[in-house]
Amino acid sequence: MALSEFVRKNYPILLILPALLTVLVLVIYPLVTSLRISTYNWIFGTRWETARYVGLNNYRWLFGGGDYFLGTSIWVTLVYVSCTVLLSLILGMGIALLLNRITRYSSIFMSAFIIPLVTMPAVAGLAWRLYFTYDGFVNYLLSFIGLKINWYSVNYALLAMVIATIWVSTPFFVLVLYAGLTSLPREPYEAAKIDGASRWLIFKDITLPLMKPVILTATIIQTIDMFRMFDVPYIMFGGGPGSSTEILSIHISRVAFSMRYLGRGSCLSLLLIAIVLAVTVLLIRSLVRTRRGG
Amino acid sequence: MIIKLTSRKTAEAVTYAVLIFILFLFLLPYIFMALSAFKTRLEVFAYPPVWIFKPTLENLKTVIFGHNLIFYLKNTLIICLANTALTLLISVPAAYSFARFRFKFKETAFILFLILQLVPSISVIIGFYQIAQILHIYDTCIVLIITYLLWNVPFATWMLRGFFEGIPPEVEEQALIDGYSRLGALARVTLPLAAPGLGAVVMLLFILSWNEFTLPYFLTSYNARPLSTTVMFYTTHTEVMWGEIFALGFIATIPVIFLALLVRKSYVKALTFGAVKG
Amino acid sequence: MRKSIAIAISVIIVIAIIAGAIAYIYTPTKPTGKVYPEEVKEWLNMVKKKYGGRTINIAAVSHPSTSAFTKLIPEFEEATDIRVNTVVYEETKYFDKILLIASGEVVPYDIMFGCTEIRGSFAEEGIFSPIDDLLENTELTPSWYDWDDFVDAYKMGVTYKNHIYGTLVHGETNLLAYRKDLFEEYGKEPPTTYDELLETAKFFKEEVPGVAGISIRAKKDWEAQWAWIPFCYGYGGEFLDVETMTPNFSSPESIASLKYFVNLLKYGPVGIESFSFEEAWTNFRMGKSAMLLEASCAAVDIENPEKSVVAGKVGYAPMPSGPAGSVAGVWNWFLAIPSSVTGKQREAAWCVMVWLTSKYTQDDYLKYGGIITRRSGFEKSKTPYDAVILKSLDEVANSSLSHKMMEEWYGLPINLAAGSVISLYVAEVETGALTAEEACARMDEEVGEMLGGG
Repeated sequence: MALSEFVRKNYPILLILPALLTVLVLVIYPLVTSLRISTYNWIFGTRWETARYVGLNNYRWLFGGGDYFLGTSIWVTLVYVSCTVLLSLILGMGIALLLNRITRYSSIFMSAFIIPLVTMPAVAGLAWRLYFTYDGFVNYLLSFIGLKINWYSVNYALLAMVIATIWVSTPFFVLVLYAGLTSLPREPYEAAKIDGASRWLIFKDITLPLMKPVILTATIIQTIDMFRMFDVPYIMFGGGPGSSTEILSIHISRVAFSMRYLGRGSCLSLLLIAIVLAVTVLLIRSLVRTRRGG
Repeated sequence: MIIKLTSRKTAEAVTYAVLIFILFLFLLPYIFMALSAFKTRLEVFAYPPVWIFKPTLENLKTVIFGHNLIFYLKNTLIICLANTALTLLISVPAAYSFARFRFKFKETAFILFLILQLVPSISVIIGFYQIAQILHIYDTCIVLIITYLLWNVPFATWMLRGFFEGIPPEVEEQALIDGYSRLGALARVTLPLAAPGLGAVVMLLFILSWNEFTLPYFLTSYNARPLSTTVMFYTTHTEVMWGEIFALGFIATIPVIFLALLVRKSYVKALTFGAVKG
Repeated sequence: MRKSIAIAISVIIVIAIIAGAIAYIYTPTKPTGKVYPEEVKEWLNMVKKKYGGRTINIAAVSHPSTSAFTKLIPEFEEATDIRVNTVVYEETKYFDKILLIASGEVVPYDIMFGCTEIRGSFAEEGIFSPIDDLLENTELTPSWYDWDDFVDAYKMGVTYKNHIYGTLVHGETNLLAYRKDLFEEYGKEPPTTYDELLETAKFFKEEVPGVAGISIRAKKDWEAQWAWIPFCYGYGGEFLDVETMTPNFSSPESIASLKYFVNLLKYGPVGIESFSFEEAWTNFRMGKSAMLLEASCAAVDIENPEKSVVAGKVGYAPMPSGPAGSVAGVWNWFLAIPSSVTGKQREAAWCVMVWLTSKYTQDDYLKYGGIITRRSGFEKSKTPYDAVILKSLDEVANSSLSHKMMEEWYGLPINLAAGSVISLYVAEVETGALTAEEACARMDEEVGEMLGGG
């Protein structure tokens, strides 16, 4: 019969169809709306009918230097995302490896490490804002080694934000990398032990290559998430002092909602999407190469 | 000359010690926050920080009873559970398909998944708001359950594919020979083996939905408001009610930690399975 | 796996049962059988007859007055059969939400909070409708409501182009709080001019260990420009040249005021460049600064011994005057009615507003923590600061510079959006990334663009 034949032949595609359709439907309308709005001058809070068509003016504004803070914003965002992801990855990997070596209570440790992830971003942002005050918790800890830093200043605010974000983001890596580590096959390790290889070599030549798909997957996902991060940075510093923490997501919100330029805001968000795309395509390439390499 | 740690026990003890130390550092901000939930306002700002104090239940009382916490908790639970279930339903087959089969445009489709979730919340707010108004689902739990799918489905598919690929196909071949269909094999053999990954993904999905703030803020009013938007009750025009905020933060983490403790059993299963398989 | 799922489900059921039990046991306080005077009872009955059975939704901002309202509402609901729902939002995100709603078809609220900064924009775009007719309606607005009792300066904040848009729930002005004990110890007088302010702040920061000179908000977002604007007008500068309708940040006075402001911040506590009002007030309350130049509603917590270590040691003075005169701002929150609400629903909403802000209910309102907006409230108050605040407010009502600031700038529909831009550049000057001249030039350009329609 034609139907079962059809189903059998296209089984793979049918399986992914619900997911693909869901995401497409949910994304298409907002994305198209965004594109459309970016060619208008729409003041946030007024009805759509009052928006004025301005063609490519918003893009001219964006790329013609009309946004004084664009360069700073992009730079801060890149620094923020790269530092956070890299440091979380390394920290998460370390913790996952340690977890993998103990035989009991690993699940309890695991559940405990989840806690920063579980804290609501709004509360976490407020808490870290309190901790980084000059007479706050962080400086209290630092006082044991004789330091006291003004985290609210233009030199350290970004670092404070990175630290707070690492706190929130590392559990994700711990969780995913640990799950990956526990799923690794035993044979290579047993063989290596018989050969008497050192711990570092085992890690470098066996664990890392085997874990590459998981590491890359987790990194890509977390990178995208960090680009979209809004609540914690906004609550902590709101983009200040100066523009030292004005990451793109905060900047977009400022232009679109606070300054009420929805057209320009849409342009900016499309730019953000483009940047994230560029970065992740680079990461994906390595992922695909790994898969093909086997 | 490299001196090996001959005693396994010493090595393990050291590992435990290091882990506990790191865990302690990690949890310190959270512990401080939980402690501050029971402090008075002056104690919260004290420097050096106060560790020993007389706890007060006022903050908890205000949070639970003053602002109808149960209602928001109920909303959040409904939204998160329903959304996680729905996401899994949609994503597991898709991830499985990506992991096992070859078909045309496979990698393109996969990357498409990734790209589609790049959209930041800000861009979709206006679009979703309009759709929600048109469909009359503004301010209902349903609108949130559906819109969260936008980020959760690609996320789950990506993560699950990685875990499914980590399981050798030979295991399923055996089930197929025994007469199960593809999906049957998936359910009976692969899923249990992928349990740690599955557990991780379930937990992450739940947490992602639990913590989402921007979308529910703009798409709900008073009927379907989840817990994450209630923090703003305590940041008023004249003060930030720190005690209450920390109390809320503390309470909000309890259900999810609970879930994490539940799901951790799947890790144990995976270890035993691995031993049997070997 | 099956077992885990079973456990999970049963636990969730147990939690649900416990939650239901708690919700059942705890019911909100029933209104006590209160006895009303005749005229009040009459009015309540009239409302019940005409509008009973309706539901009114209020979009409120997280504010002590809102908490006070929610306690006034149950007795109103019982007496008039009108159901009132209050939805609370945080202040800064409130505008985003309201604007999003305004861009759509339906506004799901019957009453909304508005503030001085937003009234121009909302009135101009027709989001709020004036309530003059409701105020003049003697049936709906009883004599015990007493509109005239509201402080004159506060009435400025709800009026736009001679129409009144709401009833007041909050008011604040600039107030200087200073440590009486420290001032006595070092023989200082509360400053009355900008120069004296700077000198005193400098003295405390440099000469007295452990104490900063002055605490004031300076964060990016809108705090920085809120703090700067009185100084600008006090110097004789202006944000807007009302005759040409162009921004005037580059006038020598405006630039001088910006330089002054950034200079003043140097004598503040460490980290002041990221202080929002919360940190600024906390800093003073914890005894770390000698002065606080902030909104007058800070005073309530300063005198609260549970939240402040300096309660009882603080003196209050009006905002110092600048070279051009004395300037203080007046900012309000008020209840307004969206223009999509009409007819009987609108009248019912107005009745709710009357109840919440009337002179009769003021005593309860203040008891529950509401902020004073009426002259009678100020006069009854025995706190050390309310007399000073009332005096400041009366001065503002008579000060032409304050009027200029409030009407010309805050009456401008785009002032809130422009404030975002201004804050960006003030923040740059604070960190030294831009000079005051450069920042003002950029502000001129961008605010000018906004004025021209963007």
